[in-house]
Amino acid sequence: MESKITSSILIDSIFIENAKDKTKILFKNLWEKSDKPLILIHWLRRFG
Amino acid sequence: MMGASDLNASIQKINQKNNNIIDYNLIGLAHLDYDLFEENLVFNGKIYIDEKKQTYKLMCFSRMGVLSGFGMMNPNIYLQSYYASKKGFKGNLKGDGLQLGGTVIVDKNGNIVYSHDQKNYTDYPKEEEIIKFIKEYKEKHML
Repeated sequence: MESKITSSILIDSIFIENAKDKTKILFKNLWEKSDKPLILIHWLRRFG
Repeated sequence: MMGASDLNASIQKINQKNNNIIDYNLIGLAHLDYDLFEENLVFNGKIYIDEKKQTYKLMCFSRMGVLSGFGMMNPNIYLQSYYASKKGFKGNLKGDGLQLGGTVIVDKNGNIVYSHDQKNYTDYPKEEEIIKFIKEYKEKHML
């Protein structure tokens, strides 16, 4: 099952927005800047 | 079945027992009703928006469609709405309701070590499945 998100060439150009302060960050920063060994990412359908 | 708030509670429990092993991030499609959502969610992670759906496309998450009756024939959807409303979530029909999501766990190098793609609106990873994964991961990597 193991694959690598970073194998996609798109990964360096995908930005997501912090919902609170609306600053943009690179998607890959979720794991590259984390201080924890594992990072769970949950994609929602919608808020509510 | 777990929604975002149940998943959040599970991750807190896992972190308490496993020396804060895991970060928790939510990604949504749009800012619609984010404030109301945040009010009702006691949340320890970070919430992000991906309006262009780039990460959804990257992860190849499915969309509900006509052939699936837009997912509305699934009785679990009404049960989940009931439990969500008991927790203060009023429900939200704005935005793109057909896009499904999912859950992945990645390591520091971006390797996907666990994944669960939503097959329908009420399909979430089971808490025991995530706990089992964390236990096995810790043993394998001697954490």
